[in-house]
Amino acid sequence: MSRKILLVSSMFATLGTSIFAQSEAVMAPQPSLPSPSMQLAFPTVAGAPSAVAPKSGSGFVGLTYATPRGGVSGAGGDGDFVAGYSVGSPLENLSLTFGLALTGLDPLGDAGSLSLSASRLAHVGESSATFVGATVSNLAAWGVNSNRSEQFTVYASHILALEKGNVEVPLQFVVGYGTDNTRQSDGITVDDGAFAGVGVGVTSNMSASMSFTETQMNLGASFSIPDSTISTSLNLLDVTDNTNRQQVTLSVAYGF
Amino acid sequence: MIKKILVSATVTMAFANSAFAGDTVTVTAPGGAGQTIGPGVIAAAITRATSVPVSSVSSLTPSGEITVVAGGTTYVVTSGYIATLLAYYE
Repeated sequence: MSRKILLVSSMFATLGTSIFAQSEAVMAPQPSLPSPSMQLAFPTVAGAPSAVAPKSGSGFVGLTYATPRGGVSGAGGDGDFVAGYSVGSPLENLSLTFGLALTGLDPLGDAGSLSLSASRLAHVGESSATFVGATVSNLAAWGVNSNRSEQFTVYASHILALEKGNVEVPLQFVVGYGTDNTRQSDGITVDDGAFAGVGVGVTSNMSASMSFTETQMNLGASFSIPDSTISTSLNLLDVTDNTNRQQVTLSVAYGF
Repeated sequence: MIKKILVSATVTMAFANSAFAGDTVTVTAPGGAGQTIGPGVIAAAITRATSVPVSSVSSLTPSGEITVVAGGTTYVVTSGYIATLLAYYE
């Protein structure tokens, strides 16, 4: 008789281009995980980084299409390529994720940057786990990305499993603070600021989320392809167009 | 009575394939038979084996504790979801 093995392991990824909407720099890749219980999807948070690290030895590649580019009306659409690889355990010491982002697909490779994220498990409760993380992005930038300095972000993710009947509904709460992530209502000035978000597993393959910077609200949904390590996400950034940078992004990622 | 279990390492669970509604699905946790694991993990295993989403698992100590050994540390949780998330890193 053939046997199936349930492995709570392989990481798939969503893309981080949409983090902090409409930044010129492609931000650190945002990893996500398969649902640990396989009941409801792991809750990703659109537009905000997560401190829940990928497993050591896992990596991902992905593409994001965003329109209009930078959220600037009339700019047309364009894509970004991202890749990342993680080492270390957030339970034992530290998880490190090394990221590469190529800004724009046409021409491919004329602009981009590197990123480094670190995360660690901070606390475990009966039905919750809290991770803390930090990211420095736009490292070694080239092309248009070199017009900006490195960006620094610190954040925490709180995973909470709410029991409804015999089904556990997973929630992820994210709070953090970062540099160059808060676009003012003039649509030009970008300041440092706080952000927050919440995501929830809706079905076994879908999660929904919303996040906020001090000036923008973002909505998103992520979908995983069953029996694969491919995930997709659809996000609407600056939903209220408060900073005149409303943007739709579609991401596809493959984890290995 | 609170039942404690040890979900070790990768929480790799082997179970019969090609099960159907009404069949008995055997979930074998590391350490052998006689263990009790959380309803979330059981439901996930059954879902995986049958491809039918399981929304309810009864008589499985929903208030029980689950002991997870991960990263050299022992965690005691009541959530199968959190237990499996922690074990993911092994």
